[in-house]
Amino acid sequence: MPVSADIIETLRLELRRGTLILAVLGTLRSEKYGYTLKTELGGLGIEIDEGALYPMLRRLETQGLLTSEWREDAKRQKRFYRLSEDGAAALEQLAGEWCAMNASLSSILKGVGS
Amino acid sequence: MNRIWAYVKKVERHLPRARRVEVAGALYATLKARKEAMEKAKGGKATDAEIADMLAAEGDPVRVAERISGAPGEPELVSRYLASVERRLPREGVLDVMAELREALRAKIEATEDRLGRAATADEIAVVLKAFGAPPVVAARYEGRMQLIGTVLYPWFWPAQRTALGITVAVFLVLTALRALGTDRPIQAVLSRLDNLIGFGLIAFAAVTLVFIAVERWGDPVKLLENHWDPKTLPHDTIRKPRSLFDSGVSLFFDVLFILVWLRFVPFPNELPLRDGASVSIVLSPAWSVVYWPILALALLAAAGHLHDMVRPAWSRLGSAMSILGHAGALAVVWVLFQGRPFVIVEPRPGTSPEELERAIRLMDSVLLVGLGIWALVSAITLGIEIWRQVKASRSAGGQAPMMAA
Repeated sequence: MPVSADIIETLRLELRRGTLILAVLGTLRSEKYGYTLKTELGGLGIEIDEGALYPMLRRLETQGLLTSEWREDAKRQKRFYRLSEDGAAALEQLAGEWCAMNASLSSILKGVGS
Repeated sequence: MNRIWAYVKKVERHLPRARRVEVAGALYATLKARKEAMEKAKGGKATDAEIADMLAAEGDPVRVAERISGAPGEPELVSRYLASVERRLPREGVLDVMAELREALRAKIEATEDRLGRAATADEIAVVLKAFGAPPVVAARYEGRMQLIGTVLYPWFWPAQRTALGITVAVFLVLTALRALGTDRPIQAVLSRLDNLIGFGLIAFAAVTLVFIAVERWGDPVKLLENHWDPKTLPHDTIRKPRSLFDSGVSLFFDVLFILVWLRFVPFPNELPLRDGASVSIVLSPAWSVVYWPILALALLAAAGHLHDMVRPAWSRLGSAMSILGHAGALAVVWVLFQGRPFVIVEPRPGTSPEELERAIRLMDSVLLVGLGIWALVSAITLGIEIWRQVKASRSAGGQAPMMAA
């Protein structure tokens, strides 16, 4: 019996959830505002809804991993985000975890899905 | 604190008049909280220079006003969407969140317009909003709470509990009072049964909680909301604040109770006790038979209106139209009743003196005269307000106000 599209979609979302934070932290090593961050991630093949992105940015800022400031850009007030010192340290650790996990998974999944 | 106050007053001057007090109050609370956080972090009072730096970082008052209240010319659908998200957000930091969402939507709409090479239509803006997410879902993501009742359903949980509890208490009291009427000491009879109320209240709480858990577990509320919401049906918060579930629930209960009494499914005592053990019975006069069915129709319309408010608490053209019809009908009913006075026929029971009978007739006539007069006055005022709201909705939406509100 084929696996239903709903189950695949749920699994896909679970798989993406954790990696999105890593992608956002990695991208914000240089300062960006929400819209350019979404566009840049989209350009790299990582789609994220704005309805999920902005709450995530706010949560990461509350956790001290990001800093933000309102500034005028192209005659408009925009909120710019960048990685804080704590965020950079967290990114370092998470990226290490990711690389280790990626290496393990690559070995486990050898020959699958290619 | 004077420095912060002076800054807020400068911002306030550039805010739209309709929300000036509300937004300025929220800004003051935000800045005050920020100053207190700064003082907590440094372990002492903030200096004037530190407060000045904080306010300078906030930005120019004119720009801040524009950021938190929206630039002139903001599409009406976007304002309604943002208002719908805002009313579900926690108060803390709400202005900042709203400013960011406003800017994000503006950027998305501009990107759409760049792609199209012209201004976006209301339909195209609705597509952008739909992609952004249903307001309850977007607001829930800011809560970040994971519980038995998830963040999307949670805003409805306590209002539903309050409504269920209100209805339980009302049903209990009415039934207990009706039973007690047949006893020698009605007040004591009611009081002796009050301890049962706690048990009924707990049952109502458990039942509502189970319904929410079931919807959370098997209903997939996020998907339900995302699939079934339409940006064009967003409420007009500026026309009337959404009605609380508690108010609508309690009103609906009394509508149903009235309908049951009117249809004589629930008996209503018609004996009026007088001095010295005398009493009279009161019967509605023939004038009421003319308006019997119209009154039943009006009560059913009121119940339908309150049920509509429970499902869709924000103002909508449909709910308003029902209200206009109901209040116009109420005025007509009162007018017919005033033509056919007396309102009631008062019949003496054995042992009632002519003086007592005369007093009872005058009393009942005065009570109904005042009661119906107040009903007519309230109906006339509400009718005027609802007609004005319809006009306002037509003006604000360019004649495209929704029939149903989300």
